[in-house]
Amino acid sequence: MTGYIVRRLIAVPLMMLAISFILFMLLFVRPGSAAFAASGFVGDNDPKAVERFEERYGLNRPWYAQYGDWLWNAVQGDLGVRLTPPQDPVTDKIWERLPNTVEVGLLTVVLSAIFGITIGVLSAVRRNSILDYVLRTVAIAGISVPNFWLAILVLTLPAIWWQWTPFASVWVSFTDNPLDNLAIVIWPAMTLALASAAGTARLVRTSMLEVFYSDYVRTARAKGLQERRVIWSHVFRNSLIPVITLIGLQFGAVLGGVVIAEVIFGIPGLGSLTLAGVLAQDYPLVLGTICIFALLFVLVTLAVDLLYTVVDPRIQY
Amino acid sequence: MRDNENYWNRLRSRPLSRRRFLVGSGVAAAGSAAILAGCGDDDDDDDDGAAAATAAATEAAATEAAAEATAAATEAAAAADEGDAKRGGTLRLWKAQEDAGLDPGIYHLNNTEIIYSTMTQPYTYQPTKNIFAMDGMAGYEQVDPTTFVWSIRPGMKFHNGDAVDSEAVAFSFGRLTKLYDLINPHTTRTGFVFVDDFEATDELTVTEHWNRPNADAPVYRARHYYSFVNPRVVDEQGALEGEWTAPDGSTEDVYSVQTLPEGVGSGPYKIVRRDATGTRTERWPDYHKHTPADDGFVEDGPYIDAWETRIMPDGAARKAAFLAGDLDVYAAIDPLELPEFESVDHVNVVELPAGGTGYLGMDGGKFHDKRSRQALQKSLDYERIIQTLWTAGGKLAAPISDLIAAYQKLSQEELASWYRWDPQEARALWEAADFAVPVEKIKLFGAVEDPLLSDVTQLYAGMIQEALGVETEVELVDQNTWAARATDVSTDVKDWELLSYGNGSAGGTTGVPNDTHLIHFDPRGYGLNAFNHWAGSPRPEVAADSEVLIGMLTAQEAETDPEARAELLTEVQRWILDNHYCNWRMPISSVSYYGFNKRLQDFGQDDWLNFYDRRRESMWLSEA
Repeated sequence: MTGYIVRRLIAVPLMMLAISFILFMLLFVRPGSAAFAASGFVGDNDPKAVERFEERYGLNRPWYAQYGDWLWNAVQGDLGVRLTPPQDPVTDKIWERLPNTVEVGLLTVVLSAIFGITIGVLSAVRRNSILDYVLRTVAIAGISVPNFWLAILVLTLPAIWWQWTPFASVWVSFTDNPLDNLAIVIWPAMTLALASAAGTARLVRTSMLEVFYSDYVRTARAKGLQERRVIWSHVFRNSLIPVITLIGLQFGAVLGGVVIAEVIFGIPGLGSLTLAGVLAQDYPLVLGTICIFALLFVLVTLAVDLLYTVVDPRIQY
Repeated sequence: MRDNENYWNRLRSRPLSRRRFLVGSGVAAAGSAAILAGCGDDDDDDDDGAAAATAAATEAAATEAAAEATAAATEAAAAADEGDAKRGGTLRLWKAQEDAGLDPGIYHLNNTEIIYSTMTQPYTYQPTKNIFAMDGMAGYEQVDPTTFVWSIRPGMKFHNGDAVDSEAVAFSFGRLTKLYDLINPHTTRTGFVFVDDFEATDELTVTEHWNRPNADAPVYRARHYYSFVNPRVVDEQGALEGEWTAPDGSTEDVYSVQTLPEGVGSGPYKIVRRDATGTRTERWPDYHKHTPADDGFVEDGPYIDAWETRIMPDGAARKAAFLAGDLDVYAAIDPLELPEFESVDHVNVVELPAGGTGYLGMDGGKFHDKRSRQALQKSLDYERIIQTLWTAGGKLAAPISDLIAAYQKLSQEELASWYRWDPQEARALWEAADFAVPVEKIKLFGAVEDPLLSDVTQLYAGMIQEALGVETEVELVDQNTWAARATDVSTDVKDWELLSYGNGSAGGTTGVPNDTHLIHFDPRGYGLNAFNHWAGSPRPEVAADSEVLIGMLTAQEAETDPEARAELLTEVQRWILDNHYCNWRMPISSVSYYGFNKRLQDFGQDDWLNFYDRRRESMWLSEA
């Protein structure tokens, strides 16, 4: 087990190296440069502006020199400065924004798991009932509705109908006021959770139905165990492995979706920062934020792998 | 334009208000009575009759004066109560992104709510009224065509207590040139390239020495770039931008203040919060008085206590927040959505004259022959464009904005003679035109961020293809890539044929013809940067045309007589349109609808789009 963890942890830097290199090259070969975002277009009538900017920030050097410098500093914890004004440190910016993204991500995964597992279990236990059909329809709808559209509806419909919107006119951080913060964050989290919950519900239902007819469940019932105990101790627990895998993967999807949710709901997170970096072709910012996303995903995947051993003692590394 | 006027002249010709008259006469009467009474007491004239008459007259005068003084005091108290009733509240605004720095000399987007509220500018300018309202300056005077003298408002202080004096103002203005030379920010270079130096003449006087006359200088100085910054704070806490070398060879370190450290500004508010969610500024109690208060200013400072600006990147969120009453200002409303907005009680939809921008810029590397440009322009059906896009009303657009009424003499009828759809003539011109580089396909190149621009560009492409029989293609990319490829001057030809930008829906004017919109045709401006229409062009006809246009542009800029300048500007426009030079302004909407919360009062709506938004200290909140 320890050896497995060590091997996985050793692989993390190599994966990050590959990710950062691919990202850098994608940004490098793209037309334009951060110099345009910084020196701009409108009102600027000096064609030397871009050259001066590139000279100042070393953007006129070969790609390997720029990437090498970035990498050398990154391994020392310095992700460089933003190329767009005010050219502040990327690391500081990430630390400022990361907690909000992690909060939205975790809340989404938790809500998704709660709703998804509850609906899935109910649907499986009451299979082929009206409740099952209704819940499955809801799940299909949840998967089908794009979360950005749902987010827009969540914001605008109450505003049109009741002159109220869940968009917070003043942002409150979790450390300042946890309850007020949750009242803000719950909406993007619920919006993102709907699609994930729908997927989880369908998988839970399928997994449980597979286990329902297995020999050991029949044996448990034959032993005279209560139906509730059969379902939770035997059926549910044994159907969890694919569900845990899915929830782990969903975390990655949530990190992707959080970009949209942060932009629409005005959450000052890593997603909106990444988007700003992409639009400005600010490669240190994009590299820094996406590497953090990648790192989070790698660590969550590792945690999911380790969780298997808790759920299923037969699994050993 | 009021180039030959100054503040003092306007003060002299200012109408006398009832309140001002009552206060003044009350004070004068009371003073006279007191003097007369004092004289009477000391008077030892032996003539009793005369003394009695004098005493009676004095008493009567004193009684009358006291009554007038009481009336004046009552009036003043009522005005003060009214002023008090307007005080308070928080103005709730939005912006799409975090600012990219706050230095007022460096133009970056999303920072004006901070700069307007925390810094002092020389004055404000309202193009629709054509008036300057004094802010940090008490007046100015154009002493001769190349000497401009400022009188600084006495008694002003920066937030750290340092005096705002002529040294600070001269430093603030002079720093722009140096910043431009070092880092080339978006400062309005055209606003100071004609200035040799800014000299602190005495404690409250700054003199600008110019190398040539400039008609737009006063209007330029109303822009936020010319905010006063505290030299001590800039030098002590600014970020070093580099060493600037003066024309005489001397050097100087130049600093920027992108974070606006404490004490750098002298405006009515101070920053209390600035983070990834937005900004908040709150009233600075020691803000200087505006005596007398010009239009848009209040003697005792702004009525509103604080400004809260939320970062809201998403349009749907902004709309929801505005309809929910959480924002005081929305933005341009799509005419199709008007009923939705008008049905909400707290929403005040205001119809504003629109000076939107929509352009088709032409690559001079390919379209060097005037006939090719003319063919493109005759292939567009302008009436159909207006009918399709501007259901609430549209109009043709000239090279300068018709919002600058004093200078725009071209009528819609006259413009129609250039904006004439004629597919047959277009095709004939295209076939007759000379092309140094063959044009097999016409690519219209735009930015993808604006959905309306995408539709507009597709519409243009279809018309051109239909009229000329040449294949067209629309390529839309992200804003940054678009700007990069638009301004790529590494080759003689662009990798596109037509540059489509601006959707034409809403916009304003600074009041400067160069800004709206001559720079888009200027061979030293976008003609050079974006359209290969410049004096150094390898295409001889483009180079020759560029020289002619530069001469005309320079001449109109130096003409300070408004009537004479209007004539020169009309000539310039006619020349551009006759020669189909460089760029083509497309039809624009003639109105725009803006949403405000009904609680926002006296916000200067007519000039809101004219770089006057939020500059009005007299705006107030009715529910505050």
